[in-house]
Amino acid sequence: MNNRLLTVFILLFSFLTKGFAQTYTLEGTVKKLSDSLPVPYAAVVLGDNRLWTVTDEVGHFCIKNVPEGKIKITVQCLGFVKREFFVTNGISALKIFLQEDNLKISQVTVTAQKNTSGFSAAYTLDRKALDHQQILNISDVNSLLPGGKTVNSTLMDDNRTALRSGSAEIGNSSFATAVEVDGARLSNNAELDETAGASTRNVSSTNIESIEIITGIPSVEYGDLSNGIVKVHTKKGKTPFVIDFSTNPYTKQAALSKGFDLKGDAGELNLSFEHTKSFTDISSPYTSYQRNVFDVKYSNTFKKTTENPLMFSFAASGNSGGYNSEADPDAFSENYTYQRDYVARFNSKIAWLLNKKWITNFNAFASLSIADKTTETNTNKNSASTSPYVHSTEEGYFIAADYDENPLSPVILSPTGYWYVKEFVESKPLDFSLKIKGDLVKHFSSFTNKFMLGSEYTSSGNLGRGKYYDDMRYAPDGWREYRYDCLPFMNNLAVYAEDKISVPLAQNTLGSDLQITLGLRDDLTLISGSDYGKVSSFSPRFSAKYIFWHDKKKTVKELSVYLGYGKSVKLPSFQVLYSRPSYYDQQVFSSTSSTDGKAFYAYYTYPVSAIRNKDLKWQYSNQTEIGAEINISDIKISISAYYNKTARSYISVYDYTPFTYNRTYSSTLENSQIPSENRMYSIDRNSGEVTVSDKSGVNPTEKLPFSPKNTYKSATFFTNSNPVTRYGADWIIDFPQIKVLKTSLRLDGNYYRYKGANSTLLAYWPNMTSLKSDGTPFDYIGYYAGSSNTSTSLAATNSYYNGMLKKQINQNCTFMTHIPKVRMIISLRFEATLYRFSKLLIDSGDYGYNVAYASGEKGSTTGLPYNKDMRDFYVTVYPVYYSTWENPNELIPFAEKYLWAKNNDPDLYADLTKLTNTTNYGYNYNPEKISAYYSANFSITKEIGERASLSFYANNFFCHDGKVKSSKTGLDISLYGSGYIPVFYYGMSLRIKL
Amino acid sequence: MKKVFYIFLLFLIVSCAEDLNENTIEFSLERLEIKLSYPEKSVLKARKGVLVTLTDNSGGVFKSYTDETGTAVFMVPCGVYSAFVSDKTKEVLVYNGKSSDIIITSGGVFSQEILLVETNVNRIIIKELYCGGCQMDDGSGYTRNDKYVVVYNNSSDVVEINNFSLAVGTPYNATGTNANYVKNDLIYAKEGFMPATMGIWYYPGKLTFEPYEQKVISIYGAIDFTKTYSNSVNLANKDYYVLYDEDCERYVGNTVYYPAPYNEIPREHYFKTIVYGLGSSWIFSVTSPCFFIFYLDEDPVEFAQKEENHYFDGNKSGSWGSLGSCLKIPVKNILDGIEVFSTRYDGNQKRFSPEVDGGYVWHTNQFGYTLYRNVNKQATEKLPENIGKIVYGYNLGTQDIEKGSTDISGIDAEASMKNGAHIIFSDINNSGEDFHQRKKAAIKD
Repeated sequence: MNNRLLTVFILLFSFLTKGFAQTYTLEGTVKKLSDSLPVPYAAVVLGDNRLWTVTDEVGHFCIKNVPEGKIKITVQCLGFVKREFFVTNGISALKIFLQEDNLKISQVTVTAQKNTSGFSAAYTLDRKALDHQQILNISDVNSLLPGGKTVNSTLMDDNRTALRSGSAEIGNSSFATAVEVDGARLSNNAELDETAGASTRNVSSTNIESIEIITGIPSVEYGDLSNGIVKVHTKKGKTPFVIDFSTNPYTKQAALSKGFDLKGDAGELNLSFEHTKSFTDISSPYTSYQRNVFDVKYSNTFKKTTENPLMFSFAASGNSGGYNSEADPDAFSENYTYQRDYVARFNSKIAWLLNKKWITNFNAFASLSIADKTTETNTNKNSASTSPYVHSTEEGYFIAADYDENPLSPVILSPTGYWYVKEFVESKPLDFSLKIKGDLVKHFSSFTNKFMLGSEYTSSGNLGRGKYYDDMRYAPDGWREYRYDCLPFMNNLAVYAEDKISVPLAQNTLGSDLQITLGLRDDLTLISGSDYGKVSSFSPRFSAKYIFWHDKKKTVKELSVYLGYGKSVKLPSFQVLYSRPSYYDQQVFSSTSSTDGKAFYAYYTYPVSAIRNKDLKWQYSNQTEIGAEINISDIKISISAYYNKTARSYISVYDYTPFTYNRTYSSTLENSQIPSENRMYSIDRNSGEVTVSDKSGVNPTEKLPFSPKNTYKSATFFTNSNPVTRYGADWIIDFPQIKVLKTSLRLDGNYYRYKGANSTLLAYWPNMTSLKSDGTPFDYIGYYAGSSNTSTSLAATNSYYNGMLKKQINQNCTFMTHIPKVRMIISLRFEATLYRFSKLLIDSGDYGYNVAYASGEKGSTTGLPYNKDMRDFYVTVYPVYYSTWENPNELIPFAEKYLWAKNNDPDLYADLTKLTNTTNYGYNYNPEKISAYYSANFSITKEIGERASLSFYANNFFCHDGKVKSSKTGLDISLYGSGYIPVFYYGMSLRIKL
Repeated sequence: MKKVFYIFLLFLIVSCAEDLNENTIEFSLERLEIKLSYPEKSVLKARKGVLVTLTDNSGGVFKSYTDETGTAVFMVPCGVYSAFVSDKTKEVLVYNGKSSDIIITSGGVFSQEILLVETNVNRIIIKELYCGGCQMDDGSGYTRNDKYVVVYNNSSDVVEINNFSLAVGTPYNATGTNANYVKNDLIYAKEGFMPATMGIWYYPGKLTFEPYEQKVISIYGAIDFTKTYSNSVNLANKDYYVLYDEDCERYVGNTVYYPAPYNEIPREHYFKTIVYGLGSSWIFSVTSPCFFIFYLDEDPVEFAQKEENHYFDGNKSGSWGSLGSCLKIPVKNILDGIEVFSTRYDGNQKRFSPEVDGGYVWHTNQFGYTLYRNVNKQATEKLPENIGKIVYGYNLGTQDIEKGSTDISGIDAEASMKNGAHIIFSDINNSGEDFHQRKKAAIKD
């Protein structure tokens, strides 16, 4: 860690310990509003002071050393409506009544609620909202954010959560969005086959109490992210038996949960079990994904009645489901894919209110997650001829051999006939984290300071074996062992400090307050035994909030503004860190086939060590945000505008090296004196010379002539892309309920703009199998300014664009009718996309050459330099440079040479044309504006007595499938199946409390 | 709550009632008149008795003959239809015509004119196309790489073909999205060429056909498939030809599609390829190919390099070698073609212009069926050397299955040839009239 930073923290910390203030003891009881019975285990928290306790068996609580003045008190308990109010000193026996949380109460919300207490855009969804919307997967909650669009929920889609981003964008936005369950991070860093956010399919949706979504700048406490965080809180506390049944056309769900009061000081125990199964085909529900989640959570608060209560919790969660493509039993084939989604998660938390001069709270947290994501596939195979299975891992020429003769042969001949291949891809990610933090709250006459210092250690690895087969004779062509468990763990040590100052403005009696937070985080990533070694990442974050006033007498009752800036760093995935070694396999000889379909093939193998890019930098985002909360005559308005810049996104690119191999054509066998049925083949490992010998020994051995051939060896590696920018605004306007209609109105929406273009110089060899004008193999390599590829799973190739500009305005309108008398709430939500714009971009980068030329003539690859105002032009994108096989290090400026060749060297011109990339249509670069479209959804929840509640929803219940206009082509596009709006869908759920 | 429930119930009832109304079909027949129009210089004029075939989008077939004015009358339900017609002179000049997307709605009389065009009839024809695969012995499905084509000299002359070549049209399957239709017409229909997608295979130099000689060409693997698939065919035969080009590393590296050819097949029976599309093998539809054979008088490599011979699927722009790249094959160079429609899927569309092929033949893949040429009974029986050698009682047609077909000549061509007869096959450049679906591959006889 940076020494200067440490010094600053120590000095700041020393200074802050010198605070002073008068204190008093706050005591009281928490009772049920309906029958005045005590509420045990209710959490009583004093605002930002971080003083807290838990009520005892008789609902009593006592907090000592409460500073004088006005303090916000929050009381909450599972099953009750949270209460927040202000207290001042002098109260000794506070009586707090909590109302049971059901639809009988007057204030019910089933939408995402903006958190007004924070410094950044954040939203909360409580259990009622989740039940009302029948959320099956955490990733579905995006649709409930301002301007969000409803998705038809099914677990067959392993959608990942991505905040403030869109699809097919640079920046790996889902990977950069963090998801935590009870403080434990769902990490996907140790996956080798993807760089995406963690799958949330294996998290029980019925055991969630609330979800908090921070789309803005999170506290420095949170690292390894750059696109916001989703925090899931599971149920904790005493509850009745709750049985949930849910159904929609493609999913069935049943769940049981119960929170036990263990009486005395034994604490509370929550148990939950959920079974959910989704399938793809209603008529044949065999291909399915299912989760069977068991959650257990123990929590207790010791020393409740003292001034130093200690809260302890331990939680364990396990899932034993997965994807199963089991065929319909009526079908013959025993082909199947079974993908385990086994996971065991453990976490333990200690929160200790020490309330000392030098520390107020101490928190410790540890979590461990072990998953088994092994994929098993059984595939029916058949062949009438032998095929080569190349497995060589060393350089040289190798000829195929029968498995029975030489099972370790670098090239094995496949069987003929029928067989099954059982393949396993064993992936067992393991993630461990340990966090400790302490805070110190001090009061300096009128202002309060809270200082937090913490450290976090995380470690990710994979204990899987990688890909293997139950019978190696069937291991297919190209397979090589690559064990995940041999890869080093990625360890990360973070230290962070945050200081928050709250300054009430002395002359102002309306509750004006200025709050400033300054945080610093340093991540030190340690990867032993790798080229990356140690990488340090520094993340400063700052935010401030100014509350102008809280005054119920004014028209503008409340007004506050906030702003913030933060840098956040996303650690790489194993896919990015550990590029697999690649092998270049070139067929150099094939015999002819015998009557039983057997032929011998020889290959040259060149292993290419995995390229570990030492220059790879960790991806990060700079986030800037400004927002306001306003209450005008009980119309609550919240608006948040942001500007995010994501830099160094991870991308995969090719690397080419020229080389020569020796090829033996089967035509050389034509002159062989050895009868074809008696031929035995061998190959010299170094020279590639093929020798034919006679099984019968009658004819002498023959050596076949060979000829050299030039080609390239290719490998891939990861590097960083150009920055992408996203900015936009989210807004929510909540109108007060029209009491006569019992209906309230919410308007929420967003504006989103994305601009990303990747102009990183990358090599690509198009037309690798074609010929040049002189009849020799095409061997020019193009060096392109970026690519349209946004996925890390595929290496970037050439394309006729390298970026995208997107803009969108979404506006939703939700009517909520809540009738407490009949315990029912109905929400009708209209989702409109008023503006949807996109346009292809080409960024020539900083290479000093234009790479895009436009022509009105179809088929032309030359023309005017392209500019963004052109319409209906064919655009041809050139590489910046090209190189030849003979001189791969000389990068020849392309455009200059190409335009010269057009008039002077037709053959070169024809060859270089193969390196260009032209749009298929004149309209490809035209701006795309989709005319406005909408869909309508409704949800109903009805409580039936105290014991049951029923919810029903219908998405796109008008079955809207009209058409929208595309400005790009001038054509109409049907909304049905377009993905713009969901197709008609419905679902129902029943909850029973016993 | 009760009110809400009743409203909801009412909503459901109304919805169901609307559905019931939608499902009530009003069935009526409409009159469609199709008038044939011959080219000005044609030796044929409008006449009675020319067969016009009408198909709907789901494969329903209607047939009617023209009256003296060259008009055929159909009574058909409302729908969208395509019409096909072939007419020929005694001198074997053939005229074909086609009209797509004839929309018939309720009420009124509909008329459509079809302009017939003169087509070339060549001596080298496609005698058989086996491309649909057959059932595997373990019951797990069907195999598909045992494809072959038989080309045949349909004359008593020795014929030499320069750079004899094979190609397929686009899209690969008749049911694929066809980007080459503008309104109801193929973009290239009046341009005098046929796009060859992906690549072409050619036999370098001259390929000689003796009178009535056939050449079996293995499309993917010249091996004995029957060793593994008893329903399949044996293509490991020294007399056969094979599409295998060792210089095309992309293809020969794909040993599943291109296993090394059988030992005894001589090197001079190997075809070469020019590849300009993507993929690791030449794509040949298993359900519904549009296959044609042609010749080139110039070097195929040079022909393929000329920019004026390049075309992009859907008349788009693009870089040569990218997806959708096609070669323009002049219609005058096309020796023969076969347009195949799949019985498994709806939405088949023609890819040949009427000049190349005025019809189509239905094909059911996966069961070892083959598309086999019909015998020109009159011409075959007329050959004096055939006396006593023609075998009748052909029973290998598939007329007993849906959309199946047979050779109405009743001549068993394969048995007759084995008996020493010379067969002259039907050739009016209309696959529907020239081919039928045979129960088994002819080389299994």
